[in-house]
Amino acid sequence: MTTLDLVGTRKWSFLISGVTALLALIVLAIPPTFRPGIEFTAGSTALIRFSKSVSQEDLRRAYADLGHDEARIQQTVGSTEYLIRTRELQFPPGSFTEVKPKASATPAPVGPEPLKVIGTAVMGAQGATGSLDLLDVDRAGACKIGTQKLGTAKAGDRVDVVEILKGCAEGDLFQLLVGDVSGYVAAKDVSDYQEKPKEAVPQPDRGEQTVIENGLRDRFGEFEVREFASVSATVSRVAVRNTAIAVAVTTLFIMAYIAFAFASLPRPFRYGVCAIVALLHDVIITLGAFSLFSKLFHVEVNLMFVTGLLTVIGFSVHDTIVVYDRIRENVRQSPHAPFSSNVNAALVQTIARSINTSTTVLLTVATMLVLGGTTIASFLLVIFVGVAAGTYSSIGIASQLLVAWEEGDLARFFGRRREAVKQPAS
Amino acid sequence: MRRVRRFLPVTFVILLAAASLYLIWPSTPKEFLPGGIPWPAGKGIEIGSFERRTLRLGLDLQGGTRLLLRAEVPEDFQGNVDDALEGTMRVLRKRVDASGVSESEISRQGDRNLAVQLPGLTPKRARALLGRTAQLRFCEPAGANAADVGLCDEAGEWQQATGDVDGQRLALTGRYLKSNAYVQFDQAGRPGVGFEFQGDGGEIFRQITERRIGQQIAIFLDNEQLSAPVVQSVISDRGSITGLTLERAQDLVIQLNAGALPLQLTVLQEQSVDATLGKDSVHRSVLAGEIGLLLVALFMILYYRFPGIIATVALVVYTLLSIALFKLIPVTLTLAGIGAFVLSIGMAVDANILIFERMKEELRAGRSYAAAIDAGFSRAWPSIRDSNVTTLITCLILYVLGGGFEVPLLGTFDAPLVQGFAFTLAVGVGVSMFSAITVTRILLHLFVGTRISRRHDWFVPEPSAAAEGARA
Repeated sequence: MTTLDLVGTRKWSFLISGVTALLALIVLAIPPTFRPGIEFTAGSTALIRFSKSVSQEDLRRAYADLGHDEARIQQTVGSTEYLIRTRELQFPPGSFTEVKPKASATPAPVGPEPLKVIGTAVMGAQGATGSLDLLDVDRAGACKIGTQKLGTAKAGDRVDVVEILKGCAEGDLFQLLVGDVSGYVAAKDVSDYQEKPKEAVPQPDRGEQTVIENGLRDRFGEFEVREFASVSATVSRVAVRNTAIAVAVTTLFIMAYIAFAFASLPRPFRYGVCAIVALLHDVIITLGAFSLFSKLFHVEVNLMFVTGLLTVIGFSVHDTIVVYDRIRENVRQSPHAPFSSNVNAALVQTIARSINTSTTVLLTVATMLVLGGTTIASFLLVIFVGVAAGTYSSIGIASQLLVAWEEGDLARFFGRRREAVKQPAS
Repeated sequence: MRRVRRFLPVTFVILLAAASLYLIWPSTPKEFLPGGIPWPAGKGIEIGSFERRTLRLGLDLQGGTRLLLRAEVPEDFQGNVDDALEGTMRVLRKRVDASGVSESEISRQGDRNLAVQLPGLTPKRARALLGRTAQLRFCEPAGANAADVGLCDEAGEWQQATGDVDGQRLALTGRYLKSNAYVQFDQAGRPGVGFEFQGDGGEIFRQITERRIGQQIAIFLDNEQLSAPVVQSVISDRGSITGLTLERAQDLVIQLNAGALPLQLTVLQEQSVDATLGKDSVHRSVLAGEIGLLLVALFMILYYRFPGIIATVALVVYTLLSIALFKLIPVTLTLAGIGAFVLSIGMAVDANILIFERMKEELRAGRSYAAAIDAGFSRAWPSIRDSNVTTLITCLILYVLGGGFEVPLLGTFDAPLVQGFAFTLAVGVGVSMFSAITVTRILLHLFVGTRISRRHDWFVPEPSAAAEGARA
């Protein structure tokens, strides 16, 4: 096992990392770099009450089908109401101006407005026979059925209902339309009232909002939009920028602490610098991977992404330091051995630990990705990519850079061949 | 005696774990555990006013109260309405943060409305805290010139108290208060609010108290009279409001320190809303996370054998302790917090792995079980220390920067997004160091001198290496 020469392969690991990081940077350079999540952008919010109960997951799927997989859907407790925040809805160009008031094609007939049928009912109480009188009505005060007979209808016939007067002296009154005659009967004299299905009222074209509303109506039936408004971003861009600054300040402190912790070794500052280079490597690759996901699968950068990136940074530094610690121990034990062999020994001694630790994290994350809810997938994806990159960089970059620095690889690479400063072998 | 020394620490660990388990057992187990089993409902703890019945979860995981507020812009409002709305949002945010509710969400909706979502506040309390304009005024009994300086109440009994500074007549209001008002208690233990003046406030108050010595003055919040103390002596720098309930005093302190609202707010709607990540989605993720941890345990046991079992037990204790701390402090757990927690679990596992790898090396080198434990711990310690201290430094800086401070020339800098993450991670890392060093060690020591400790093949998987170790 001790024959494994990891340090000797550093050319390759640098090449792989360099190419990957370069690719990541290229991907990042192609606009759009990221699709900002709805926390960072203005959007629309709607409060929708469905007539029947709808599951949150179905609703999310419906919105995803309608092109809004970013929709944030919150059920209000104990009702069929949903609060839905989406990106700003698009109004297709001209959708407002094109809905022009049309000249009426069919002029309204002169005279009293025709009666509108609202439903049908069967004359007479259930099983009644004979004929029933249609009477007039006294609408003053508590509406009262009159005595003047306007017409008759046979019990058992299904007739049209024009209006239902509620809360009259004798209960509800039904205004019926039999042939050309319209008159009133008491509610006890009709049965099996059926409301006429409402005709679909053509909606004015309000662009995407109409598309979504029609899509939801097809899937979940009737609903009522109780509130619709545009909303500001919940997280300002300044807050994100400040977070980035805070992280940058933090890395400076990390660098200082590492230099302090390794002060007993020669050139401790290099440890800090190399750890941060490895960290940058992980962050660039994670960002690049995410930018690629953004472009290919419409994955968005949201607050979860920021958190995931912080987690990756924490992990990367942690992993690097464990390897450095082993280097410190080896250098102390055999100070006269070549630096590269001390580093190699440290890598070989810690590689099992590095891989095992990452495996446990990746195992948890992968399980949650496969089995867990879809809403946190972007968060898990960041951690998965970042931890994988972090593990690789702690083996292939952070410590190898130390060796490269010690042996003057960079200078040699640029042709200024310089005798590598090697410590005498023990 | 040896028996006591051996079992006492283990008993301590077991008691700690049991107490944590009791504390954190959810009151609605269905949401966190597999269905189909009649789990008993947990109660949490409640000692006097100290109440921790449920774990505090953020809007993304559990939901909360949503208030839709309408900003009333007066007809004669002068100035930019947008600016006033921005200012109102800032004050609301300050009030919410000061009330100890973290992870709230405030956004502008439509033209004049503000949507506020708060985790864990009752709608009633949320309204009391957010809705008030909190314009504080100091008043004296109305005199002849009452109409000129402005009345405090509709009955016309009080007028604004004023003082003359540099030839200008200034009314004493909340804007002369330093934003460090505090809850205080008088000798009888009754709560009140103490405050200090800034700028010209001290001078104005001195003039008022000089003029009104032995008489009543009154303090009004919006149009409500809070208290009407009798002036005992000339005061210039500080004052107090008495006769409040404790909750009222706490709210008033928050409102005074956050400043008055530029615009008056009315509540249009209030609703209890579910998790933004979706209840069913969160439920599935929790179960998936639990399965993930089981897989980790399985992996550790298969790879590390006996120490893997110990590590799994330590991991369980670690998880229980962390969640118990989250609940006790209390930390409002959001997805960011869960991220921090996953990271700290990774670090806790890592600490154990570091120790076991070192122990394996020691065992291979032919040391006894007891010696290997001690050597393993002492040699793994520097890397556990350095990696965890780095993380703690990260947390500290993120937390401090997150809190916000004044940068000369550039204004206020704050990064509140990462504060919750930093705090949760710090707690997690602290507990992880404790559990790796104490719990794992106590458990490993339990087996010193037993048959297990002589079975090196239970610790070192490769038989050849074990044989070499035995020979050396």
